[in-house]
Amino acid sequence: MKRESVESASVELSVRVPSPGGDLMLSHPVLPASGTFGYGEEFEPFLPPGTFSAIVPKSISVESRPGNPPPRAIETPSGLLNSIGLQNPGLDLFVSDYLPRLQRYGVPILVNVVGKNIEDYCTVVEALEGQELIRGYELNVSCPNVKEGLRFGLDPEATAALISAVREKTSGVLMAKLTPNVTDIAEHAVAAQSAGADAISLINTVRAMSVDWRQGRSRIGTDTGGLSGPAIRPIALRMVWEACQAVDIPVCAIGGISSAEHILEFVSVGASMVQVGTHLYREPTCLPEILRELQELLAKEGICHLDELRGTFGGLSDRLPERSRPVP
Amino acid sequence: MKMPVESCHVGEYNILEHTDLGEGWFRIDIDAPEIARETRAGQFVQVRVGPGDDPLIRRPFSVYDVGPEPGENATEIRLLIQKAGPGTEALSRLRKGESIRLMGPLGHPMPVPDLKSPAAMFLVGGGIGVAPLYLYCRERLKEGSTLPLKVMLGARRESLLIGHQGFQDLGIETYLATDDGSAGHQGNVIELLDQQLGSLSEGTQVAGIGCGPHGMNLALRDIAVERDLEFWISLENYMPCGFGACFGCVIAGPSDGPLRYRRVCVEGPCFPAKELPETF
Repeated sequence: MKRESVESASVELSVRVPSPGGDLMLSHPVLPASGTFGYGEEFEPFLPPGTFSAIVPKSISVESRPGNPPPRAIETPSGLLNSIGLQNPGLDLFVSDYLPRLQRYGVPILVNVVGKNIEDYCTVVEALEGQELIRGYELNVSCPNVKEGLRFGLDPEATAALISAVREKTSGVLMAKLTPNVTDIAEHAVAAQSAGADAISLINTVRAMSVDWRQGRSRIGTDTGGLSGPAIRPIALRMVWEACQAVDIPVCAIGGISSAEHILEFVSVGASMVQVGTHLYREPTCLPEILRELQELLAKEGICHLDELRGTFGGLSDRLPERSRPVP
Repeated sequence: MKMPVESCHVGEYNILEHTDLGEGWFRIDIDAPEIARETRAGQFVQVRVGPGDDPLIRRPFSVYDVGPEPGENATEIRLLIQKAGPGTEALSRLRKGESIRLMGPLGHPMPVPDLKSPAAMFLVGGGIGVAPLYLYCRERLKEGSTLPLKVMLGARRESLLIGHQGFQDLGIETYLATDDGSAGHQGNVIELLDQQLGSLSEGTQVAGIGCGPHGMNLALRDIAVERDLEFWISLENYMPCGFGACFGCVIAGPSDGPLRYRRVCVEGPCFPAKELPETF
């Protein structure tokens, strides 16, 4: 049903993410995807990093990590295959050298945390609790490029155990970043929600490879890597839709998003927020234009708030087989 | 860390000229005043190949020249490009009057060492690596530098020695090497450098910058380390972003230190040869 259009300035883009410690209010639904935004400073030559409604810096682990050997990235059709390997300065240097700069941007920070075991995740979260503007954490349980990266992400019970343990340490927003490299994403989404996650973000990169058959070698420094960019957007859309049907916590969509049109597709299948990743590499100044377009597109359709669009995709769900979703 | 540039321009710019140079090489001159006046030799721009998703990522190109002259009055960015894949192939079809999306300037400028006479400053270029060396020479000439520049260029054959005439026109001492001997020294440019180093009078202070294919860069690194020369090597890695965000273009740090990967785009693209590992 076509509604009468409204003034684009009157379109409200804010997003509310409830957590035990209170609601996190975001001015709009667009965040940078962890791992594509560096530590914020890299974007300063292009736009105020606080233009994003919250900052999600590159993964932080307890210890510093050198990352994977080069070459670390190669372009594939409409995609980027990477194997960075979580290079990061480690917790101590993050707190002393990187956090003060991130705090200057004036928007909430959701720290992306990675670890080898549950204790590692808890150590990082405990150390960051109470820091100005750190309003929550994105738990990376889904990196395909390090040995232990998918230890949690492929097993819903392990994901749940991790989230429960971290839940004890913080009342801030806990967002679990899920991997697409599973058969049933709904099972993982439900596990995260049941264990106390306030939100889920998906998808992390898709495990993929590129080989040079003449040399018999991978085109990146590891045999397999993680695929991002427009090539994976249809996969992300399907998985976000499936996850949104299974949980009622906010879902943050990631995967090849580069325009307002894309964002609205994801919102229509149930997403509350989105992260823009690979597109930032080619157009680091894109956000103001995307936000303006977002308001214009919604206004044209007479939609005053994103909530009115959220989950309006009808689908043909009666065609899906019945299934019960076990809660760990 | 300190980022190399405080502001970076992203926009759509008009192509003023497209010049086919043969052998798959071409030059495009672009009207981009805000980028041109801030660009220093050794810095690069990221070029979006088209509006679509394939090719996806921007291509980095060292700035070959700015026009009409380097500095505050520059309005044009000039790029020297060699067709090497679908991205550069698409760029080769762009003509005068069409537009191109640029991001820049990016990376650190090439260093300008302070050498005491007698001195020699070698600029060693192989293939497309010649590009940033030309702007380097133009800048030094404009500022009236007394740095004794010696340009050495190498290619497989004469027709692939693109841009050498430009250096000669600037009045710069230029030496050529071709694998087949069709121009200058028969052999590679590193042999030529070796000869030149041997002919310098005792006590000459030597420095240099190299930019070329991987093999040339490796050989240059070795010669610089063996003879303890102050050389820098400009690297050209695959760069998904070009401004430090992706950590995709890294090279390892010196072999004797702890394993550390450095981003070529924001920590380079020019690195002291002695800080490069044996293989990079």
